[in-house]
Amino acid sequence: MKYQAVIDVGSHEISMSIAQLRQRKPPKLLERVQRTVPAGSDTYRDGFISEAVLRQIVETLSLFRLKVQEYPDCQILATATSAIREAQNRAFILDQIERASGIKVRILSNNEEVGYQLLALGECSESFREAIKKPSLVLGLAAGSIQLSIFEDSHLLTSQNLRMGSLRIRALLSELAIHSRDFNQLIREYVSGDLANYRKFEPRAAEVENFIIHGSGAGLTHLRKLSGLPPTGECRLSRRDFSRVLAMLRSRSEQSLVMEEGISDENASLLLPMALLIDEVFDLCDLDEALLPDVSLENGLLMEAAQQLSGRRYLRDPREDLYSASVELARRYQTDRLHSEQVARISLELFDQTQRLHRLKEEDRVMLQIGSLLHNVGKYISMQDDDIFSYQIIKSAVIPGVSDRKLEFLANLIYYHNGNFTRKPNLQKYLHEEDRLDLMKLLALLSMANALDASHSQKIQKCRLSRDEDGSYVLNIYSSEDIMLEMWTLERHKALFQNVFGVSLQAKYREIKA
Amino acid sequence: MSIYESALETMYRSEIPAVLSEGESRFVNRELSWMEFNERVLEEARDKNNPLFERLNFLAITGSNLDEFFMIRVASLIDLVQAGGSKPDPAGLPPAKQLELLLKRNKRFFKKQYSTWNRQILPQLKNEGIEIIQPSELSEEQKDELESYFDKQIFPVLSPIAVDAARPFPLISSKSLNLLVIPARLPENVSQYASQEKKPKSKLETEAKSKNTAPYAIVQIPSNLPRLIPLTLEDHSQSEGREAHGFILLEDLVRLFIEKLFDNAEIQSAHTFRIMRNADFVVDEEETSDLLSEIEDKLKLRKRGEVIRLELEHAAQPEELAILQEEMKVPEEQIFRIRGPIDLTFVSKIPGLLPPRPDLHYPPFSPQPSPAFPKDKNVFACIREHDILLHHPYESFDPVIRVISEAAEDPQVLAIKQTLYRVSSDSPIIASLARAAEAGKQVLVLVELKARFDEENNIHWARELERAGCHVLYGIRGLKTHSKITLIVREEEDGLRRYVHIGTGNYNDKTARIYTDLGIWSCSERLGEDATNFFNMISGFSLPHSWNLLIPAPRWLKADTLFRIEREKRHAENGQKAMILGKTNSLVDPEIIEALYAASQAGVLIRLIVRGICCLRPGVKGLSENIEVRSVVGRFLEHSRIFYYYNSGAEDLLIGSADWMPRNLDRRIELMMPVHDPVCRERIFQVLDLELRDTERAHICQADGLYHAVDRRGREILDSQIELSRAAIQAAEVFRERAEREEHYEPATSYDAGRH
Repeated sequence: MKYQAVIDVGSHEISMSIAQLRQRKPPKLLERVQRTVPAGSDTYRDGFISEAVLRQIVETLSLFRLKVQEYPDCQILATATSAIREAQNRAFILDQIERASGIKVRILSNNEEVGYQLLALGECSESFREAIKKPSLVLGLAAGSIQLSIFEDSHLLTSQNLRMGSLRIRALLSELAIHSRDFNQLIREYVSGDLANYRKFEPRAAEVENFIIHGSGAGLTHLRKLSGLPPTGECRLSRRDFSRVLAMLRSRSEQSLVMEEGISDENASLLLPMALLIDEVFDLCDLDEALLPDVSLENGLLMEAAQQLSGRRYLRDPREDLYSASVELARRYQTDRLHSEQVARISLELFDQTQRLHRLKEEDRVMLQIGSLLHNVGKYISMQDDDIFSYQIIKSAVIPGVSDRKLEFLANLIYYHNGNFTRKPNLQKYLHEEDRLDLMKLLALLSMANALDASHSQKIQKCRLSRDEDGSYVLNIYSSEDIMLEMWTLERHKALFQNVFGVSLQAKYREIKA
Repeated sequence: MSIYESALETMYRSEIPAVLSEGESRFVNRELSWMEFNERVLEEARDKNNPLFERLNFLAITGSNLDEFFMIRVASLIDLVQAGGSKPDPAGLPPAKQLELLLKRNKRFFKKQYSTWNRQILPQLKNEGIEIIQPSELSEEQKDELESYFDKQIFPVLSPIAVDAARPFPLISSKSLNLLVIPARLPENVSQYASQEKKPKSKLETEAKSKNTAPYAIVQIPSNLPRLIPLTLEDHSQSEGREAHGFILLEDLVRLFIEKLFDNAEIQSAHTFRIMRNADFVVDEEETSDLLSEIEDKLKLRKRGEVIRLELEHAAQPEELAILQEEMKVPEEQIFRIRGPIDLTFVSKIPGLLPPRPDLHYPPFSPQPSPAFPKDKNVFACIREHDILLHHPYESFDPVIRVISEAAEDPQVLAIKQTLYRVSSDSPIIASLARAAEAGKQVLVLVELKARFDEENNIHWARELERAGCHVLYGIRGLKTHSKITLIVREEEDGLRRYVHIGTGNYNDKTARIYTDLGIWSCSERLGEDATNFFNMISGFSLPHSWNLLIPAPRWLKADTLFRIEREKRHAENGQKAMILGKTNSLVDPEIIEALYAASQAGVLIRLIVRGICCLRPGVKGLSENIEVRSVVGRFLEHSRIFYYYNSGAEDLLIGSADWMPRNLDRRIELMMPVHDPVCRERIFQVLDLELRDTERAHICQADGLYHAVDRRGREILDSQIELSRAAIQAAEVFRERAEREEHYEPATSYDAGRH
């Protein structure tokens, strides 16, 4: 029997889920424990995590470790999000945590965090899978930030992170609380400013048919209870009930929440900012009800662990979100969709046929596909120096499930998609050392694929790689049209392929009768 | 007949409800109510229908009960009065008034207690050939025999302490028995007590003599020697041909030869006395990191508390009283003149000094094996079949021990977690937990160090468990852990399974033979999840957001209880049937009582079985006409907690560890659990039904807080404890017979084969 423990070192609490991993079945949750540790308060206010909070983190993780020992051979996967991610002293913090507690904590990028949350939603909530068939707005609540995602036809279109989680708001505005006559209004103004920008960025948010709210942590649980909903399990929150709770929170002090509702001190101060956030988003989408699936980041981590163990197929493949978000990004920056899709198709054909040469993994294939779709996004900003703008756009994009390292890889792939390594600035220096060779391999394929649609007319119908008697490679290019430009461009770009793989490559035109 | 119908049918209602007089409180004072409970125990000692030796036992229990009550409750009241506290209790009595009434009540109680001893028990013992001989009744041969015993066994152990102007009054241990010895005249060389040299009379001695402060001495009666010394009786013949047995009290024996301790000086008087000191203390948890050592230090301090009670032989002279009063600083109202042997707890040991007399005991009863746990079947397989209820002492506690023992040995068991409040010394459960830890299982034990008077025992085996590798938690800061829960996590073919035990009684195999308690074993997933969350909660993780089944205190239970009572009240107001049945050891919480009053006024029928303290006034017009309170006191100590709410026919039934007292609901970790298994429910309904119909062991509480025996006219004579014993025996018998039938395999022989 296999056991897996996943730990989420969040901004406001540290939680751990222990599950039994089963063949071809979803993980079975055995127990879940949590402890309030407000790491985010330090980070959002001061920019670093204090000694006192570090001690609390270590103590909590040590306790968790003890608990894990109840399950034989239980693996531990610990991740951290924005509170540690944004802390200036995060390197020391991680090192000391590992040394003192024996647990290695991996920092998740925002994209990875979104990826796991969407994985959790997709795997654990049938209502979610049903809802996103129609235009839906998904609000992910965390102590440090919120994530707004738009879905349509079960595809993720956009996802945007706004740094205005309840804990962050409280930490940033706490100084003003003493001086402000109407702190509630102050919070609302702070929140609505960024949301106004979001509204412009994503007007579709106002046209959705479903509103979904998710998040881990005690705050949302307390909100559910105050609304008369069960604290756990999937449920629906009506706007009317929510408004009643919001009115109550506005009129009551934190102390009365602690004493009369049994809410802890740490959570009582977060409820109102959270409720105001939700209220703003309710206004944005103008719906009467929100679906509250009871899932967390830990569910996503467990699902991935289960899939890796047993090869269990996901109910909703997370790569679909990656792909659809990329398509949406390409659309937003008005790239030539047909050209991008053509480049993607050809590059994947080349990838599949040169497996023995490059020996890259499936995830690299995905990168190649995404890179192909997005290689021209920068042209929206400048036709001349589009590469650097493409790089910057990718670096700031939300592509669910992609780590910072992979995002850098993707950005470099797009920056150098023409195979020109002399351009400045040199951005390869930001790449992880181990990724450089893989980048070269993909660039060899991408640059050839791009060359094969030099006219942006999608003349190439297929490419097939073969070998001559002397061992050299022949790229057979099939088309029913005049592809002189494509062939000429290819000749100028095949050198990278030949250099990277140490083979000679000859391109041959194969006419297809119309 | 359903429990609702049965409870309705057998409810006692006074034809003329009581009326509260002007200024009379809606509540009964807690301490006075407790005295009534002890009075009911005394009634068992006075009940001629009880076997004589059992009556001795009850009498001894009243003594130990009263000692504990004094040391804890009365001492607290005295502290409160001395500190100037004036806030009245819910019954409207300020502390000084409570103390005054309580002490008066105690004096009446002592009188009745010793009347019971002198006028009922002693003569009955004599009828049975058992005599406690006074020194004046001894023959010369007996005196010689005793003198030899005294010289060899007692004299070497005695340490008389002289008290005079130069030698202060010694520190007298709480609860120790002592003799105050007044010599007739000063011995020739008093200084022998102070030094080896002969010295002339000191200035102090001269002063003492001139001031008429005569010296005296204190002789502590050793508590490690038997209180009763057997005597050879000259006349062996007794009625019915039984051998006669005589005893003399140890203090009488010492008194008989007291001169030997004082150089054969003539002794004017020697009378026994005993003091009681304040034993209450609060462990200062927040300021010490080593909780254990803090407890141990406080234990040593226990003997040095203020004197709160002085018992003195009635025959003692005024000057003796004056000496003790002066030295102990104890006021008149806290002095009790005793007409008999001080501290009657020894009487329960009398049967042990005699040849077996089964005719003077209850008919023997052994806790019966539970049919749900056959010996040859794996215990976990038993629990997987269905939830299992055990009702002790009618059913043996052995299955509980067995489950934990098998869990310790079972390689599939990953973890065992348990809360322990009071365990027996040499507890088999402790041994199993230690074995489990040594076998590499994760063992978590929460030990309550503050289990009053069990602290030393608990410290000892807590350390043993730690040495064995258990993870021991020493309680929760600010809260006493009173819950009784066990969780066993086991890896099975189809995944992890949790086995949970929730009980009303402690994991103590000794008390499980004399306390009535319920416990349920279950492997329900929802309950397992709750149990896991509970242990995580007490291990320091955050509180769970919700519970599937368990209702813990201090955070959830009271609100849940009030909710259920309120809901029953609403049902009654809506014209629906509504009923509450409760079985608890005490009913003190004012909020619960007020809720019950409100429910009664709305028409909810309420029947309560409250063994001990009850601060509710039942049967009061306009207040509690629909409430009946009864107490069941018998052979076994009623200890289980059961609560039933009709709830529009859903019939919510709960068991658990919490009484309806503020300390349980607000200041302790407790657990209550609804019972859903139909077989378990049926059995618990049977328990409730029998106790509500009991006409032998039950007393009905009146509005004034006093109790009367059940009016049996027109009712079935029924002793619930006997009925439950019979039911357990019958169930075990039926199971045994069935098992024998099933086990009987007749092998075919070659002859049989040849025939075919």
